[in-house]
Amino acid sequence: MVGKKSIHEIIFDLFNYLLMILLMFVTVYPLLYVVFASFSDPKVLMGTEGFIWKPLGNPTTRGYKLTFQNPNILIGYRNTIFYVVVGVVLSLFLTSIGAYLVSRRNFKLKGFLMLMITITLFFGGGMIPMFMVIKQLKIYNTVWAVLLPGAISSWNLIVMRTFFQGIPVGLEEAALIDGANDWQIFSKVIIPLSKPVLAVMVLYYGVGIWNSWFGPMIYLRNRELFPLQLFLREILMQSAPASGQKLTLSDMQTDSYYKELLQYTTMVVSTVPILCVYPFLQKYFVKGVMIGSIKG
Amino acid sequence: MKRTYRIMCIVLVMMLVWNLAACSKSSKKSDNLSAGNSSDSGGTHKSNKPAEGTGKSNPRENTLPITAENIKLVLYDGFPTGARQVYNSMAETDIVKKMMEETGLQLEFVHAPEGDDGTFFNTMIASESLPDIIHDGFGSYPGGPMAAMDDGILLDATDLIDKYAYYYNGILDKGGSELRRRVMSDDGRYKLFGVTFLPEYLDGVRHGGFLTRQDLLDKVGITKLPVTIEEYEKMFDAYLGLGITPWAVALSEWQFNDYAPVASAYGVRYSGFQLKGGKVAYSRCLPEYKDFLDKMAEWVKKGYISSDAFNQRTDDAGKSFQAGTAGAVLSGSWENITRESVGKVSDPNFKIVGLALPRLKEDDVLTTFSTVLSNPEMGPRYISAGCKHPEEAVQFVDYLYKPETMKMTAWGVNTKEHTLWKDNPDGTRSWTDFMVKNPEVDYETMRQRYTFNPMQGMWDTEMEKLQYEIPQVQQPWSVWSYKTDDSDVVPKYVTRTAEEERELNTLMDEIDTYSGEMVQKFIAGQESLDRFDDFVEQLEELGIKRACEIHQQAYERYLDR
Amino acid sequence: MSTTNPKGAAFKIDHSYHYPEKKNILLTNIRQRPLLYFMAIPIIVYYVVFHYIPMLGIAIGFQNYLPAKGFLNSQWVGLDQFTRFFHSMNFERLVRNTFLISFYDLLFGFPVPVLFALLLNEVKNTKFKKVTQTITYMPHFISLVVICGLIYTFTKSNSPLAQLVAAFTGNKAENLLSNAKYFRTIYVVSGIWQGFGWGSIIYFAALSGVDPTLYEASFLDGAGRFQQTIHVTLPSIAPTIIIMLILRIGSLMSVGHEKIILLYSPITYKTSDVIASYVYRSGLREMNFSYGTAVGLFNSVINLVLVLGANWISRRVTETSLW
Repeated sequence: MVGKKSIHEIIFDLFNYLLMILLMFVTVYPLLYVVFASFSDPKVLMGTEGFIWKPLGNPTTRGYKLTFQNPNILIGYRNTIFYVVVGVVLSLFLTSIGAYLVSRRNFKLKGFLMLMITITLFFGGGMIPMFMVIKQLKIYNTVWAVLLPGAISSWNLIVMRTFFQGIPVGLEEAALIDGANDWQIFSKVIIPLSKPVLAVMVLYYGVGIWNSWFGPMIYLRNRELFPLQLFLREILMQSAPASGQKLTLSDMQTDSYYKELLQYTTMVVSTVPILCVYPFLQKYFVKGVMIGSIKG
Repeated sequence: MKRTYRIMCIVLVMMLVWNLAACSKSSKKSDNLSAGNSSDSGGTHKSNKPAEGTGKSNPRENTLPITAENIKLVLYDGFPTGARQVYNSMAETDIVKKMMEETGLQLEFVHAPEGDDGTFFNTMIASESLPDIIHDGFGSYPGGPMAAMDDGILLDATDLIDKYAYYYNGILDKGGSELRRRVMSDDGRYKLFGVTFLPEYLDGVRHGGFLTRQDLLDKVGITKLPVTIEEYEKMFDAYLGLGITPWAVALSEWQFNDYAPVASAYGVRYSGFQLKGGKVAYSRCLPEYKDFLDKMAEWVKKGYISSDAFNQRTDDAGKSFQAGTAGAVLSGSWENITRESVGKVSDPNFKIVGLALPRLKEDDVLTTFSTVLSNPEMGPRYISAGCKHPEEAVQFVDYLYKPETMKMTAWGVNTKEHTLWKDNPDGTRSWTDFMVKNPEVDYETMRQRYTFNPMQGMWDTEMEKLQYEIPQVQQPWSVWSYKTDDSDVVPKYVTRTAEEERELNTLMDEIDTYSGEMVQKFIAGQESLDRFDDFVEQLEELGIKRACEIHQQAYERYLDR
Repeated sequence: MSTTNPKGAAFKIDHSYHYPEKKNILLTNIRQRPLLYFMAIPIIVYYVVFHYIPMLGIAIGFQNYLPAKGFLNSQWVGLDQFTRFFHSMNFERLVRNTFLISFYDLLFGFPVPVLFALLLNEVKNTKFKKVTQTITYMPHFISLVVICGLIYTFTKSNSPLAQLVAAFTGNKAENLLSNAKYFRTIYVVSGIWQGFGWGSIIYFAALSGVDPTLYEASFLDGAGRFQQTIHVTLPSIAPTIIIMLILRIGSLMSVGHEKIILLYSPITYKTSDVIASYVYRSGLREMNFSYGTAVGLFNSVINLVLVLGANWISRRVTETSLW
């Protein structure tokens, strides 16, 4: 914003700051709750209901020790990092190409592609047919079954397209005059100017892949390939079997002090890393970054 | 652009390396398998195929190994939590390794993720490449396991079982005709094979019910454990006086239906079908059900049950009890040791005591419908139709019922690295400190890592006795069985055909939704109980009579087996 | 008018150009811009393999699909699965609940991330801004099971909120989740709380693309801060907002079952039972893939109709539309 401040504006700013602080407090609490619980004494944790405001009982790192001793956690980390890195690169590449294509003028396939993409927003065959395709392609129980099905999100593609459409046509035409072909326009003009939306896509795809467990659960049999979230879900589901499902005798014997504590520590361990990604991407959301890249 | 190019190169290289690593690992695995195959003792035993014409249910005793050929069986089976933390599959455990040694079979496992609500299982069925032996009840398959056999997914193993299942049949013979009836289907095929049996003394035990605290009863001056509804109400009044919620309960969870507190006092279930006068009836249509609702509504009005009861989960109710904000709770017995020590954190006097289910008169005998342990515990094994070695598969399942195997799956295998158990001079067996007093890991997790519970043919009497000697488990058990029977329970071994199943499911979807909602509204006082007759009428319109008919037909077929 | 660059010719109007037949248009275009068609190949392959071939599975909704028989041999039943759904006693209620919950979420929930982004944009201190952004989006990452646990605690009969409501209505303090009247509010509000931070990220990205010179120009025209927001900021990010809105309308009938199941109970079925939760319960009883597929198809068709409508309106009223 440009301009000097009046008294109205000062009051507004004050309220704004206060509002932001309130919002921060309200939204930070769930994470605090989980963190506090993860350091709590397991017995006290099991006997406490309601909100908690600090680690209960004598704080202990025992939960974390146990969590890291679980070899599944390390396997899960390795796998998830792999899926995220490869998956994000793959998705960024394909999605931006797709968005580029449907944002071009005088491209006769544009309408067809757009239709093809938007229909998938609404219709899908469901779990079973997708499973069959995976099997037929012989990628069942491989990393490709995790990476490929979700490689392009139509939703993300359309959002990207909107951004690409916002890039002034003049820049394109300037490049054309300089003799650029369609690929060069893509790589030298559109992409460099799209840092904000690319950053958003890194976040969307990255977080999406990090959090996904359903696809891996269906398409993977080999536990060596499981992502972290699938192991986390296993740990979380211990206390909440599907409603109506009867527990057998052996299920009922699996109670131990650490069950609840481990749920929280595993949650922290599998969530905190992805939370740290955003600060790195924030610099792309600085105003005017796109215009600043114009070569005049 | 250069930087992007570099990043992409790195990614491609990573993918390449990954694939190469995966390749070399799998080739190593197959090397190990073929190496292990020739370990067998000099080939003196041939594949065990008894002579023809041994007749029904008269198999010859099986000898080991089951085969000398390189046969692999894929098993879909359970995977206990503790084991998940250290193994990739049960094939890596000492027990399974010993099994492979003894039987000469290669065993590979497929495990569902923990807490799977059926998605993994359903996808596995739909994938048409089934494991050889599947450990599941097939309750979610339309028409049940018999329909799966008809559809060609599962093998009807009746002949093979008659021929080869020596130990299994031995147990069935000892159990008498009732046991056999439970295991067969209406048309004489084996419905349940490979289940877990209970030692006799556990048959009919109820292991869920009311818990309250001895110290609270002492505090309010109640000396006799409440048994009648009146006594319960006195206790609840006293608890109200203490300022705590008298009864923390989760009305929407399965425990409330299974343990049937209060409902059993009136001879009905909270939800579902029961026998009345020898015929199958829907509990919610019975006139006694109205009396039950009256009582529950009264208890809600008086504040014995709080409005939290409608949507809270069983865990929440348990927490309230442990935290001391609730006086009584419904529970199983296994958690009691944990419950007490957690409760002691907030109140050192915390002492758990079990109560008999409330009834109208002191000496009423209740049909409780509570999760009655009955023989056999569910958990049958089925052979898939595509199995290439059905004889070996049946023999393997039967092998699980060999006394030595049952002992092994219950107690684990002593190896060079660790000793799990020792045999005492008086003939009993007990755990070593490694299992029971392990500083790193608790007893339950140790059991899950070193024994193989899902493959136990029968609960080991000794081991179970060890657990049940504990007072926190023993007392509730004895009290929960006080003057109860299961005369009005529809046997759970009844079978329905696929068409019956489909019709029933369509009807019950609506009936359950409608009645579930209305019943909770009645209890909450949001609907007046004067409208109970309208409620029953509506149920009849939804087809409850037809549903009862279907159940009745299946029940009669069961009796004719 | 450069004639040395043959590709430049595609963008200049040549009035003597005769309009050729359709086939030639396509071929000409391929010759003119071959790279685009080349780039389109992986995209098309991906969609065909992973979206359109599985889409054939929609046929299951018209069958009595049995895994044993497979697609080809399962019995065809036409619209029976759909009829079963439409005639079910609760059909209207399910559709109504699904629609209302989604609609309230749209009405109250959609503007919140936008407003939040605009307000936070006004904050000058970049450090404060960054910290706020990072913190407000955290609930999105916390597992739904934990979030619902917090909601239980928040709505219990002895909680401050329940007591506040009780004071207001004059009734005894009761568990708010056990009251059908409050379910939708709790569901929607908790959803907004969990998602507004995350949802605002896309708008921050859009805001960063606004040309600063436009602000200077409007300031010179005498616009105050508020007016600058109305006349510069909003129009600049309008395309983003509109597309997000249309996309959001496209999932109006897609209320997922997971959160509903964690929060509802029979006593609140009247307002809480949605299509997805009902089908889930039915699916726990029997694995009826056909029924689930048919119901899903029904939802998709409704969503499609809604989006077509929204898109049409948008195209008339603004310049932005999906196609």
